[in-house]
Amino acid sequence: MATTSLSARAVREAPRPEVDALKALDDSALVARFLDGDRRGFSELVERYQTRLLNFVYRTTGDRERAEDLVQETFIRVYRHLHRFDQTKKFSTWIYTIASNLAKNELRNRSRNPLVLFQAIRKTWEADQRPLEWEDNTYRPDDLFRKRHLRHLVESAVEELPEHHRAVFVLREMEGKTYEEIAEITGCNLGTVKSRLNRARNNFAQIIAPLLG
Amino acid sequence: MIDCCDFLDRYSEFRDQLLDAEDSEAFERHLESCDSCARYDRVVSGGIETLLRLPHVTPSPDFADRLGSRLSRMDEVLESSSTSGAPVALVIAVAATIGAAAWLPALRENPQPMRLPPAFAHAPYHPQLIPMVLQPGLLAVPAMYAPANGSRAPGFAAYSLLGTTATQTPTRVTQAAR
Ligand SMILES: [Zn+2]
Repeated sequence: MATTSLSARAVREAPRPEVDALKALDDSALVARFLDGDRRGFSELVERYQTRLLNFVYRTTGDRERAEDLVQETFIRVYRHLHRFDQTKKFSTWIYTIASNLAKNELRNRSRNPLVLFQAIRKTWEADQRPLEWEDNTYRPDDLFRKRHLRHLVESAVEELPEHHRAVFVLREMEGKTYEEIAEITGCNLGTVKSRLNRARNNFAQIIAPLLG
Repeated sequence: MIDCCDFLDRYSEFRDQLLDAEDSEAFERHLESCDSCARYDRVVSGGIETLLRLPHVTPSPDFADRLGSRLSRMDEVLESSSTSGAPVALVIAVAATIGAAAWLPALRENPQPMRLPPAFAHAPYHPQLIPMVLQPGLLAVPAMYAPANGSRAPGFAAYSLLGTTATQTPTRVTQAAR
C-alpha cells in the first residue's frame, strides 16, 4: 500500500513544469507513480477525473450537491484501495465503476421512500415492457421556440429515463464508453447493455421529437 | 430487406457501427426509402448533439481542498493507529463493530414482535348493550337485537361481518355475558 501522506496542497497544486510532465503521462503511469510514493500522481488523477465524474454522477442522480459528495467519496475509495487495483485493467473503467456503484446506492437509498419506489418500479416496468415505438410526428416548432426549449427538454428527457437505462445512456452518449466498458462498469452482460441502450435512445427520441425536425 | 420494426430493434447497433457490412447496407437503404425511420435517426442524433453542447457542471472551487483535507485526516488516523501500537486491522475491526452495533436494529430483517403482559379488564356493566368483536369475521350482538334463528349461544347470536351466519359458536360468549 502507498504510505504517502497527501496534503490538501498536494491535491491542489504542483510546480508548473512538473504539472506539464504529469499531464503527458497516461493513467496507468500516474497510478504507478503514486504507488511508488509520488503523491502528485494521485493529484493529477483527481484533476483528470473530477469534472468527468461529477458530470456522470450528476446526470445519473440528478442532484448536483450530492454528486459532488459522491465524487469525493469515489476519490477517497480510490486512494484507499489503489494498491489493490489490478494494473493490467483500465483505470478509467475502475474509477467509473466505483462512482457508478455509489450513484446506484444513492438512488437505492432514495427509493426507500415508498412513493419514489413505486414510481421507479412503474417507470422501469413500462420502459422494459413497452414495444419500441416511433410515431412520425409532423409538428415542427418555429425556430425561436425550438432553441428556447430544446436544451431544457433534452436535459429533462435524460432525467425521465428509468435509472438503469439512464446510466447506460449517459455512459455511452456523454462519456463515450464502449459496450464492453459499460458492461463492466454497470455489472451487466453485453446483451443487457445493448437492449437498455436501445430502449433508452427510443424513449429519449420520443420525448424530444416534438422539438426536433 | 428490413422493415421499420427491425430498424428500431437494432438501431443502436447500426448507430454504433456494430453491424456487419451486409446488415449495415440494408439499414442504409431502409433509411433512404423510409421517411419515418430517417426522422427517428435525425431526432436521436440531433438530441444527442444538443445534449453534448449542454454546459458541464464543474466542481466547487474548494473541491480539491476539501478532498485533500479528508485524505490528510485519513492518513493521520492510519498513522496514529499504527504508531500507537494498535494494528490498523484492529482499529478498522473495532470501528466496524461499533458501526454494526449501531445499525443492527435497523438491519434486522425480521424483528421479533414485542410481547406485552396480558391485560385484564372487567366485563361491561351492561354487556348486552355493547356489540363485541370476538374474533376476525365474527360479530356478537345481544340476543335481543338478533333474529331468533341466528342464536348460537345463550344471550348472544354470532354473525359474520359480511352478513352470512357464522357456523362457529364463540366459546367465550357465555363468560362475557352475565
Ligand atoms: Zn422505417
